[in-house]
Order: sequence, then structure tokens, then C-alpha cells
Amino acid sequence: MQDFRSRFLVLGTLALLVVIGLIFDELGALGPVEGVFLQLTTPIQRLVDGLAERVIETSQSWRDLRDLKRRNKQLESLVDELMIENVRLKEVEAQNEDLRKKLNFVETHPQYILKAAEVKGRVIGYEPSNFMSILVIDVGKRDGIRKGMPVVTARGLTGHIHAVGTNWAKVLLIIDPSSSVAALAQSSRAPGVVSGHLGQELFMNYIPQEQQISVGDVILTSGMGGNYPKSLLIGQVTEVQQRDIDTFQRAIVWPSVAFTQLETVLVITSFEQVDVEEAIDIERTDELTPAPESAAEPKENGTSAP
Amino acid sequence: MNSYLMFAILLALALLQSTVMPRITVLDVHPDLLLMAVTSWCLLRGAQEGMLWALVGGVTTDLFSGARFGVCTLSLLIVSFLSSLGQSNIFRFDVLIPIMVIPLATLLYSGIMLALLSVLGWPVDWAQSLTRLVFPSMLVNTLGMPVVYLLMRTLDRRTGREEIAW
Repeated sequence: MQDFRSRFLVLGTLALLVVIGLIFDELGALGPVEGVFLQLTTPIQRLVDGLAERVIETSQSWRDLRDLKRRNKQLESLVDELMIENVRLKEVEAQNEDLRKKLNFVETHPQYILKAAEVKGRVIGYEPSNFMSILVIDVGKRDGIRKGMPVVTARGLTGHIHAVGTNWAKVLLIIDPSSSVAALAQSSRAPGVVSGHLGQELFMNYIPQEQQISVGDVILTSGMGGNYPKSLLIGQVTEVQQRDIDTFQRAIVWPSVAFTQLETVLVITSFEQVDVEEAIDIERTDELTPAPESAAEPKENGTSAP
Repeated sequence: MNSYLMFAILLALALLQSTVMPRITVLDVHPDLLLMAVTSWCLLRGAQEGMLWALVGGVTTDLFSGARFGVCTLSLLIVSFLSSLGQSNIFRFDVLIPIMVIPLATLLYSGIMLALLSVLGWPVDWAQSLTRLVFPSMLVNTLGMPVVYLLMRTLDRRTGREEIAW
């Protein structure tokens, strides 16, 4: 009994220490410790990952299999190129139509991602637990990476930077349950929010009932919310869940990125995030703040702020 | 066991967990090497050493993880404490005990982890998590446990017990 009590006391003390650590983490005080640790372990992690990759590759090194793999890769990259080209052309077509409708309307080119500065990061680690979908890449602050930057591959949107250190960054993948991306269907322009789910597929929620969405539709980022650039490929609809009693429709989307085979990713460093909530707050504050005296002069007109 | 050796082993385990293990996917989940190692050590060496392993291993894994610091450590500490209750000198060399303990340890570890993530604001779908991640993990860890336990038992035989005063 005495032994059990002392064990329990030890557990309680250690648990208390961990909770204190958790509070420090919440306050952001553990950042430097994490930074130093990951800075020191990143080279080892890269080495271990490289070795693991090599061992796995060697074990599959039958010549014919390798040839098949190479040919498959070539075809995959061709499919990637064609898919991107197809998406781009469809976007150009849709934009062209839109611009024809709205003469004199100037819109940013949807392919601005091609102009964006990109930093190539190698995947060196994954989330240790099964409950989250996070990657560790070997680029960080020294490469110009900042929190929130979008991360892509040639196949489409991958996620965004969740945490960053000097020579490492953690990428929260779009398949993580905590991730949500404003999206739209390429053909019908039906809007929705794509969020992660346990497993490899995505859910596109909040699609209005009156909007048309069908299996095979290509899903792109809509740019709403200001977190991701517009027109990045997310995936393709594999199932539509529509019930008349529901307020919204839901679609199951198969992501275009093969998350289990990621080796390198691109971080879009030139994308400027817009904090919509902050913008709304500023607008509200502006509305509530009385106008300066000089600006309040034309009171007679009755048009100035109260 | 020498403290430096313990740190090296746990760092290696955490590195393997974040680099190699995600490449090994069975039933859509990957084996939890650290949980298997800590549970084995608890059964072999008891609460004191087991909880020390849980603390060091958990902190190391938390630093690699994208979750809030402490989630893994706290879950591992509780699991190690309860697993050590199953420590027995008579059945130490019986592989059946760890095989019976690991599914329960996985269930408890996952449950605590999900609860902590939920408390910290992470969206947790309990039903989906249990059916798609926790139950398959229980099976996968049970399959992997004999190998890990035998390795840990070899390590136990080759290293002396650490005198830990709390």
C-alpha cells in the first residue's frame, strides 16, 4: 500500500510538471526549447529518414520492378502535368467567360502561384501519433518560411506552415481534422469548406442546397478567408451526400496529393495572408470611433459621422 | 541502466517513431514503437524506471509532435503507472502478459490523448477515432509487441537496474 502511495505521488508530481510545461507551451515560453531541440535533431532526423528511405528502396530493388516504377513515375508526372494544365486551362476559360461578362473588371491572374516565390523543403519527419497529420520539413526561418504560409506540391494544395524554427518547419496537412480550407467546385463554382477527416479523404461541407455539385467535379481553393491563394487544386469529388432535410450538402473529396508518398513540398513564400477577422474588427472599430474634429466640419450637410 | 544510454535509446525510439514508423502502415495506422517500449519496460522494471522512460520518451516525442507540449508525456505517464501494476517477477519472461497488456495500454493511451487534444481545442470525432484509429492500433500494437518485448527483455538482461530515488 505504501509502495502504491509513493508511486502515485511520483505520478502526481510528474503529471503536475507536465501540466506546468503545457501551460508554458500555451504561453509560448517553450518555443526556444523546442527550437533548440529540433535544430539539434533535424540533421539526425534527416539522416535517419534518408537511411530509412534507402533501406526501403533497396528492399524493392528488383530491376524489372524498378523499371516499372520509373516508367510509372514518368507517367505519373505526365498525368500531373496534364492535370495541372487541364485545371489551368479550365480556370482560364472560366475566367475569360467571367471577364467577358464583366467588362473593365480587373482581376488578379488565378495562376499567380506560378509567379510566387517557392521554397523547396524535404520531408524529414512525420507526426509520431496516429491522431494528427503533420509533416516536418527541413526548411525554416532562415529560408524565409513563416507561420501560415501555404504548402503545395506539383499535384496541388498540401497544407500550411503550423510551426517554424530556424531550420525546420511543421506542416499541418489539409487531411488533418483541424484543417479547413475555403473551396469551390471548378465547374459549377459551388462554394464550401474542405476539412480534414480521419483517413485520406476530405469532406467538403456547407455546400448550399441550391448549388449543383456532382461526382468527378474538381475542387479548388476559393481564396475566401485569405488563408490560401485562389485556384489551387485540392481534389476531386467522389461522393455527394444530399438530403432535403439538411441545410447544406456534403461532398467527399479525394485529395489530388498522395500524402503517404510525399518527399518534397513547395512553400509559397510570397503569399500575403489576410486576417479577415482582424480586418472586420478594424472596420467595426472605425465605425465606432468618432471622426476627428477636422473631418467633422461639414456637419451642416448632415453626412459626417456622429 | 546508464542514464546516457537511456536517453540515447529513447531519442532513437522517438526518431524512429517520427521517421520510419509512419512509412509502415497496417490497417491505416502505424505501430506505436514508443508505447510498446515503455509498456515493456514498465512490465520488466516496474513503476520507477517505467515512469522515467515515459517522461523522457514522452517529452522527446512531444517535441517532434505538432500537438501541444505534454499531451504525449501525460498520456504515457498514466499508462506507464498503470502498466507497472502488472509487473511481476514470476511472469517476467512470459510474453503472454505484455500481449494482454498492450491492447489495454493502447486503448488507455489513445483515450487520454484524444481527451487532452479535445480539451485543448483540437476537433476530435470520438466514434471515428475509435473505429478507424484506436481499435486498429490495438491490433497492430499487439502484433508488434512480442518483438519489442523480446528486444526489451534482452536489454533488461544486459543492463543493471538503476537506483532511482524520487
